Amino acid sequence: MSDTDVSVQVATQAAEVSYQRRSPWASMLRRFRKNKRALVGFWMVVVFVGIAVFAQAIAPYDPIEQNMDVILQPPSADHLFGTDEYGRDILSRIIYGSQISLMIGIVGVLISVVIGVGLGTVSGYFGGRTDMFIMRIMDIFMAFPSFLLALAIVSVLGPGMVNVMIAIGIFSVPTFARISRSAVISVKNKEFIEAAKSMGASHARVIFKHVLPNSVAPIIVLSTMRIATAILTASGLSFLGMGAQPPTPEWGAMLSTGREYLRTAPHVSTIPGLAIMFMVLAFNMLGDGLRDALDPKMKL
Amino acid sequence: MKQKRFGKWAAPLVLAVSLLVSACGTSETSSVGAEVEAKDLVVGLTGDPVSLDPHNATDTISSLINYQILDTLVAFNDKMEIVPRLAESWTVSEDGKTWTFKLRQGVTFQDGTPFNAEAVKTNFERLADKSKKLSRRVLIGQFIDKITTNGDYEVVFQLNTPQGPFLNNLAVTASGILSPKSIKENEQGIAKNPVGTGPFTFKEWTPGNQVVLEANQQYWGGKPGVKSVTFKPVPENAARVIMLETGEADVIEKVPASEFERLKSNDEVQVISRPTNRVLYIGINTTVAPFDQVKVRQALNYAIDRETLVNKLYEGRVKLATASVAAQTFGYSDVGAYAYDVEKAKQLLQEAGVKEGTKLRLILAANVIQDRPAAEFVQNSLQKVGFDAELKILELGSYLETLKDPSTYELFVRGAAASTGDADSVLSDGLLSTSATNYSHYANPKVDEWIKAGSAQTKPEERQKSYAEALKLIKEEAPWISLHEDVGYVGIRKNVEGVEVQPTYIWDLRKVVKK
Repeated sequence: MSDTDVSVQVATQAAEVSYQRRSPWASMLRRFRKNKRALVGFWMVVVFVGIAVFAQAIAPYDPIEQNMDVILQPPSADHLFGTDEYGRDILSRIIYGSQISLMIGIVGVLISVVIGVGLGTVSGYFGGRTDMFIMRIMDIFMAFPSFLLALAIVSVLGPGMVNVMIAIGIFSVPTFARISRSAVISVKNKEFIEAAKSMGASHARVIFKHVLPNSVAPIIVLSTMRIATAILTASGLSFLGMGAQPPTPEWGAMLSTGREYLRTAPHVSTIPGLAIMFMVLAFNMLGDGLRDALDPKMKL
Repeated sequence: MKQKRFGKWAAPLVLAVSLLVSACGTSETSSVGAEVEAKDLVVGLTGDPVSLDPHNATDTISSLINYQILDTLVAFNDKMEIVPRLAESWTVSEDGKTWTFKLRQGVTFQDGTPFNAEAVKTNFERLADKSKKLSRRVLIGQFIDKITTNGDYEVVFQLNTPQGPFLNNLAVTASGILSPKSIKENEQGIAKNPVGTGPFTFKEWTPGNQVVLEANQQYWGGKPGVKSVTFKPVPENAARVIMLETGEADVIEKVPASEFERLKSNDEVQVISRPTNRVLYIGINTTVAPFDQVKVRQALNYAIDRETLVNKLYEGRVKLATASVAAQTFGYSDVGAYAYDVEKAKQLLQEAGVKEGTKLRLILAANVIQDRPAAEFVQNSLQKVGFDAELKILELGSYLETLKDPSTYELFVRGAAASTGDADSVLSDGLLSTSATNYSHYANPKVDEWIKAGSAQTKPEERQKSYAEALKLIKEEAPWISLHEDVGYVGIRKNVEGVEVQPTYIWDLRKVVKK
């Protein structure tokens, strides 16, 4: 840490103030800010979210408007990333595509957080046969390679964006269930839980007031990392034609159709590929940083 | 650039030259012998055959392979005219029901069985047998009343109804003549081991890997110019092109459009183009509102800018379709394509009471990659006239499954290929009200009448007239949006000569030579 860095000093001061209140969040924030890689990841995610939110204002063209006069043009001043086989502006498609990728990533992970954490908490808190039953089902899910599982789910439900989100939601459930179960188990025998129970608190109250808030850290970290996996999986499914249907500017689908022109117009497939790479990288770096900041000993 | 190229080629060149020198030095005789010796030909196809039983297979790849193993009684030349093959001459009775064929003498099957009238009879009795459920029975089999032989080299077909396209239907691989011995002894085995009289003998088929044929040295039409032909399934376009460039394959099917320019600059390969008789069309499901109205269907036709589709999207590599059948098909007449007129389309839709944002589903089979741009173009065009058009790209299996249920689609993309070179094969397949594959569910008694008349008449002029009437009515009623005629692109290495590409996507390898 450099002494001249004002923001860091402020952070340190803030941390010192809160140290008296022993807030774990403040110390986490301090550790996070020290981690350059995490910050880069964080700002990249911020930029992607910004692009997605303001897509309409930023995009120079309509992403699905075909213009047969300018097909397969290389990058130029008019079309910064060139055009595809229908004369559509690739930059605009990338910009709108970020909305789709982020949405799939976030909604998919939200689905698995709600189901996975729910199952994991119940399992860990009650233990015994409930635990046995839920965790064996999760084990069965875990036995399948995750991408194959997602592919199988989409094949059953039929291609389409909503079905991809559901598939991604389901395929991450077992991971969330396991992590939250172990977090709950480590918390549930602490004295303050016992105290709450002895004061007559209901199971629901104990879970929501005491157990969950104390096991949330690993779930935040896992969610961030899983968003990256979700985006990658969704692109993979769209690449195979099981995800977004044309003319949706989904990156994986763009990569797949551009493959045909790989040797004559390589920009058509490489640019969406780079976009996927940077977004996945951003979430992974952010997730790594959060993990280091929240609990350096935690292994995920 | 030049330097780089030289660097890349220098090492193999030196090696090749030194090998050549050493080869010449040691054994001159063997190198001369190698010049004369026939070589192995490798063909890259888009997939595996489905079944090698010609009387039951319906896919192009199976037909393409079988065409080299089997002979037919008559055949197409490169202008799609009928020429003799196993039959030397034929006559037809006045009523068009009795056909007499004089057969070629001295031909033997690859298993040694002699070819004669009895063999022809066995084959077509198999095709006519309803209980065998052969899918190509519709071509010839269903019209056969009786087959008689007159001596060893004359066979008489007695039909139950006059058939205009009879000779065309005899000329396709589906009417290929199998060894009667193989039919009698191992009928189930034909699909995996066809035996015919053709220039190549079936050797082995490893599904997913290759089909190998060997030259039939006893072929009556002369010894083939290559020692063997290996067909390899290579579904990935880029991989197939690379195989052609590196010499791993000598001939490849379906060169993707995006590779033309680059291949042009390659001295070792050439791409030959052949207009085919496949018309790409968007079928309209006429059973669901609002597409049961003629006005709406015409509006869809006016909404498509075919000129742009042909000249810009496909860069002029396909031909504008001017009827429901292609120009290379018997029975074709130019009824003209719909002009591009968005205003008129919108007006017609308004008159028909179609609301802005009406949903429609357009389905496309994922395996016909060359049709995908057209499908996306049509989707875009229909959106411009106010439809909420959804394009669903389905695996072939689920595409065919979807077509069986008319409530699950409004539009579908399909190619109408006249495999027999005759309008009958397209019209009775896709537009006759009783056909199981009439996925538009278009039913017009007048059109039915003209189509049936066209197939029952035997005078070419009369048939031509009937089809012209049918095509005119079909254009007017617009159950299809005909888009363009496909052009087939075959990639061939320059040292290979004599690959004859027909408009039906079939190639004849009888005269192929590899230098």
